Amino acid sequence: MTGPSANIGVEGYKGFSLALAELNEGGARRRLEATLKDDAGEPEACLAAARELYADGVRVFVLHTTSGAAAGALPWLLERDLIVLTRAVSASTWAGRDDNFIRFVGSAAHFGQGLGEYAAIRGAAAVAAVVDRRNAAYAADVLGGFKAALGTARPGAAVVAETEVGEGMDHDEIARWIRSLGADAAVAALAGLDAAKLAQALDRAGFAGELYLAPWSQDHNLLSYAGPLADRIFLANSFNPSDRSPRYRGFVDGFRAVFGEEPVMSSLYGYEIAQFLNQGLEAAKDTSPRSLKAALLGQDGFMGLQRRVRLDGFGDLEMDMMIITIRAGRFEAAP
Amino acid sequence: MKRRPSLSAFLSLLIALVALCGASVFVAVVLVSAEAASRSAFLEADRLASLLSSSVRSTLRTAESALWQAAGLIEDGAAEPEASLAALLRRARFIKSLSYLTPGGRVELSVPSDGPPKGAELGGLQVVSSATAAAGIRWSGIYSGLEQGRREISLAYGFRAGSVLAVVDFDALAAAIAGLVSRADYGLALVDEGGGFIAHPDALKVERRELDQAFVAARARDPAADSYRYTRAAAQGGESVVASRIEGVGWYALVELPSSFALAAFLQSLPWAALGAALAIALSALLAGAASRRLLDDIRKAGSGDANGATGSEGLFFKETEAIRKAAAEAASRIRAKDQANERLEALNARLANTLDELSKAQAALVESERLAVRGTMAAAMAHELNSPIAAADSAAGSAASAAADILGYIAAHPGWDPDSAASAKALRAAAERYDPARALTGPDRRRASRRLEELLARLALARPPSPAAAAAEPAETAPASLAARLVDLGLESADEREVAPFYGEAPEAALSCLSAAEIIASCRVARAAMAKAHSVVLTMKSAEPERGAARSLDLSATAEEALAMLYVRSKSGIRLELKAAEGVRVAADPQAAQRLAIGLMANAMDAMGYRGRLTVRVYAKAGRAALEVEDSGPDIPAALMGSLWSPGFPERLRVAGSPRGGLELRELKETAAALGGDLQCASAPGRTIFTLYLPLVTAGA
Repeated sequence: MTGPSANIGVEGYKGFSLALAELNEGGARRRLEATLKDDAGEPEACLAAARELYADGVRVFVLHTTSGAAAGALPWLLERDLIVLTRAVSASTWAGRDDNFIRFVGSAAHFGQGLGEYAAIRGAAAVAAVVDRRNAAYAADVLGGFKAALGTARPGAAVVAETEVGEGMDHDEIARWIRSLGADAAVAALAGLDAAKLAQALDRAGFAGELYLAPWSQDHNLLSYAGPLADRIFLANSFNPSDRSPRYRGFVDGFRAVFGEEPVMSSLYGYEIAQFLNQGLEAAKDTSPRSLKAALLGQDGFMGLQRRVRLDGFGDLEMDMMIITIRAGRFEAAP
Repeated sequence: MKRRPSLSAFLSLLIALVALCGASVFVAVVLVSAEAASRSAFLEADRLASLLSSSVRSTLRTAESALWQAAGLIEDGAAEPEASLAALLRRARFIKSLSYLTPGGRVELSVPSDGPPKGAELGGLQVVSSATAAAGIRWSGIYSGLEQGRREISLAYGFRAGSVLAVVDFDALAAAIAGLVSRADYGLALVDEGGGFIAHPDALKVERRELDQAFVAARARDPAADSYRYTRAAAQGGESVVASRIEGVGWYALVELPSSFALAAFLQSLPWAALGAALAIALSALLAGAASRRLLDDIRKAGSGDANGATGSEGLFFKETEAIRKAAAEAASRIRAKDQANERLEALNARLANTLDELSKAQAALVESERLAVRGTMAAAMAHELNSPIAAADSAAGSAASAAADILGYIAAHPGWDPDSAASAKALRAAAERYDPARALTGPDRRRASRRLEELLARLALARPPSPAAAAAEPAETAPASLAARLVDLGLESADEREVAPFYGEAPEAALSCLSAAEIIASCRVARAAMAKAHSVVLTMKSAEPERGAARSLDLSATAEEALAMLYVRSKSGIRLELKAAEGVRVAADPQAAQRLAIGLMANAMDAMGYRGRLTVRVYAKAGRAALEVEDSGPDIPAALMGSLWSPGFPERLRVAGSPRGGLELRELKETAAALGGDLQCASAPGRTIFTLYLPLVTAGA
């Protein structure tokens, strides 16, 4: 809820709260209540929050935070008889395990691959990479996937340099560094505001190339602060903001009516993870973690707001992705 | 049975009605008070919300005025708009940055420089798009400003030339608003449209960027409402929340009233006097109910004799209770005593009635029994008393008849004494011995027979030679009429002249003597016939004896002696009697039957001897039996007849010539002996015939 990735928590919490309101109003078999804890985007704070919730008797956890922060609590949580769900923690570290961690999210590496393939299509040859060390696992997955796909799709193309940033990032200095490399493109795994300010800095530095961003950066801050470079920003995403389906539009209208603004990716993810959890609770024999896991994995897929998804036996999800860009202050599907 | 109404139930009903009325009044008062308290709570909430709204509104107007001024600068075409905006920003409260946006949303100008970058496309920002579309002031949500996810509020003002966007200094604004909410007696808070806390007494809610989820749920139900009322669970008691929209901002002033607020208002509004009265009524009803039940229980227990209940002192106790209890106890005691007496009397009556019934039956049975017993006893006594004289009279009549027959036999057998009378005697004896009163002539037959015989007698009288002396000496009994009547009555209605001539012969006295003897014989026959009838009556009377046939101990020797005494007259003609009786020979037998057997055996022996000879009676005990042995010296019983001796019709007078006589057959005697548990045996030899009666011997001590 706070920290550099506060938008993930805040927007996800809004979507989650809206879903709870609708489910309780719609006569869910069990009344759902959420207890909020803020991890400030920090692994230690995330673990402390998990401990407090567990001590309070909570046995179903929804980790709507960064992969970096979640890494602080997940080892401790998965040693206990409880169930953890996420629509945000996409680092591949937790994939392929038969544990109680149900990941309703695509892998970061998968998004990186898609982004790399698109960059290759766009003609990127020399790419500079910027990643936030505070979400290192996620960033590494994205960047790893990007590199592999870029080299594969466009022989000769490559990430020519990488740099890590953190708190107190000097966006202009990074922009100058990219400019000095002569890179014709940059790829970044940053929070939205940092990505936007990097875009401003790149514009100020006279960067003529394109900026490829991980899904993490997709928020309003990017829209507000990207500046002139906005139309040269491309993001990998599983969320289609241009979706006109009644199901999605209904959600958007409801969200806007309650919160007075358009939903963003985290809003949708928060909404969907609440619906997914309720579907499992409705089907479970009881509220024990074992029953809930069986019910969640035993479902014949889950109909999200935009597509039907299906979890594998480990509770992981492979999700279709798409590339979006910014047009007139809005996210749109990239050409 | 018709049920009686219960006093307890009646009292309880009355008490319940009183309590119900009191409770109804109380509930009505409570409901009215609750409604008033609820209204009061909401009125208070509305008042507080209005105060907060106006305070916030006035606070925000300082920021809004900066935008208006900025818009004016832009519209007026300020020469150095950036410097003008910067100057304005320095004076404005709560504003961190000001940006001018083209109608399309592109940032044209921003102060300071770290604001939205020039050229940034912010048309998609909700606060910008709505302000541009409606041409007015728009406030963003707390997390929906320019920097999403931050506690930052943006303010946009749309006007003809574009829009002005301000980033609000949230901390400064929150501090100002916090001063408003913290001074309230109850929880005052501020949320944006999405339920994000802008200000709250619990600052952590703002810092944690919580949402008021109950508010979100309320808005999800009705997004367009201006106010919401809902409850929210809280760690320390729930909260009733009233959310009122702040006009022109899109925020909501929350008035969080603790649940205790409504209760406090309710309690304050309660008419305590009415409550006290209701409680007093209820308490009085309870006390009255308890007291009445207690009293009734005491009375019941006293009535039922429950000592514990009657003397218990726990619970409610009244001065009158003891007196009522005692009175009830005494009354109950009297009632119980009366009931018990009645029960005893009823039982006694029942027993008496039963006894009377039984007594009546017993009396009737006794009367009948006594009647029968008396009759039987009297009959038995009479029979016993009559039997002997009848037997004696019969014996005497038989003896007299035998003597008279002997007289006529002597005259007939000795014609030399009086030849005329011999014929008459023979005829008279024959007529007398066949005399049967039942066949005697009566009526016209008797008169005709008497007349014919009288004519014969008269002719004989006339034929008698006249003799004055004879005539003078002629007995009066020879008168033909009377003599004819006597002869006809004797059965000689067909007598011939030779037979009646002696009555007019030389010695009519001899003939008259024969006639008298014949009449004696006839009279004896009549007497014996009467005796036989009397004997049968006696037998009938004896059959009415209650214990007839009941065996009892009796002295067999005495029985034999009595029998001999009864037959003594018969024996005087020529029987020598001899009794050899051992002492103490007692038998178990019906005395009458035993006596009848003894008399029968002795009379049979006398008859068999022709009243001449020796009759020996022995009584002795032998081989556990008592024996009565009757031996006569008469003719023996032929051996050929011994086989049929006990057969019906065996004439007991077979051994001797003579006229048959009434009495028991030997068969009857044998059956009677067998009925007494004994036996009758016979042994006969010329000049000595012995009948031995065996009866059960009663031994001493038996």
